[in-house]
Amino acid sequence: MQTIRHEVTLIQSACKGDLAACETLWVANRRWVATIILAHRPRTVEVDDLMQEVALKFISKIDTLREPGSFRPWLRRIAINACRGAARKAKPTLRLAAGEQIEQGEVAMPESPHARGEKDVDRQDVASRVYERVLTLPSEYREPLLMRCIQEMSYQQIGEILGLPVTTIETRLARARRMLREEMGNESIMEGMG
Amino acid sequence: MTTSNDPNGKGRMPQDDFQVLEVLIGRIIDGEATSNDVAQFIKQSSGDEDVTRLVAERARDKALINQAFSDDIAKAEQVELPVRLPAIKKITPVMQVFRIAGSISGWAAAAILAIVIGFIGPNTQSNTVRTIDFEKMRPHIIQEEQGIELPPIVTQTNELDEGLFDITIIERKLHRFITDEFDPRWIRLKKPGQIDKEIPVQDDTSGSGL
Repeated sequence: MQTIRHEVTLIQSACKGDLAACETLWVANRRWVATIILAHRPRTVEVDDLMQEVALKFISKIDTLREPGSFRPWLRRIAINACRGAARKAKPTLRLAAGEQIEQGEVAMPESPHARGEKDVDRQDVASRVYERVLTLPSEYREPLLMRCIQEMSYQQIGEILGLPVTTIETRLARARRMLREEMGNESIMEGMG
Repeated sequence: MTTSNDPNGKGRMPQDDFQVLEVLIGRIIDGEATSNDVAQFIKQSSGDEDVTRLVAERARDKALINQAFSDDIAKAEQVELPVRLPAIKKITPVMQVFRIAGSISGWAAAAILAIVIGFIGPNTQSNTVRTIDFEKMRPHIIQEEQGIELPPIVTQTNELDEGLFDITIIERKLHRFITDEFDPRWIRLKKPGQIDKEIPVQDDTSGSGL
């Protein structure tokens, strides 16, 4: 409860223009903001470029936040809007796999082990395959999965940010994990370990 | 894998049961399981190697996801806020005191009041300031409280040619330390432009200036 109260105080201070409070909030929250960006960004845009954009929007719009309790959903919306804006500007070089669909506001990328960029052409390790497979998951599964696995957020925290009940979060995580394993197929993950 | 609907484990678990089990496994590897969850999991999975394998797979995938995205996260964590100094507004020192004190409390408010009053008091004409030798203090720091930025102080404004202005400011930040020792010789008196010189401070009762 002390932590929550402290954060509410921080948010209120940030809304009034306290730069130190803004900085503290940003540092405390930027990791999970990165997971939102990773879940929604077009692959042609670097995650740190989008983070810069979100940081700028954060500092310039924090005074518009009405309720401290809605801080995280508000920040998530900024991150998603940044990704959607980048997607609209991204040049469409798309080849849709059979049955693949473009979700609203997203750019679907072709499934390719080299899609990550030249520096990762030589990365054939398991982590690289996992990376690609996670990004093929539907965003409603990808987002909570990344928030859980990367940021170690609780189900309740994820639910509050996404505006969903805990039971829905649990179900989506279970399905995401199953889909990921099915996508990985018969690949032996033991070969890539160590 | 046995279930109440498939006691001999000869067929696939019904979808609902499998999903319930996967949710249970998720709770366990995510640290969200209650004691009831653990008991239910043990009951459902006892002696079932498929379930054990599934738990291991899920836990391993979780670690792999973390590893797979670690480079991206490392990049993202380097991104700082584009923080700018607030515009310097023309307000009286008294207004400044109450504006600052209204937004913070406790030690910081008291410190700010002391500093601001000191700046507007008789010692503002002094051209010496008290600084501290951080290198000597640092090994004794037990606790720090994060600094709060105060509005900067303008030290000079000059008009240049071609319609330009030269403005110099001092940035101020409150920072509180708890140390396990204190040596008055850490406090130095310094004139602007003077090479740092240690001067013994006999009386520490003055509360003005920085």
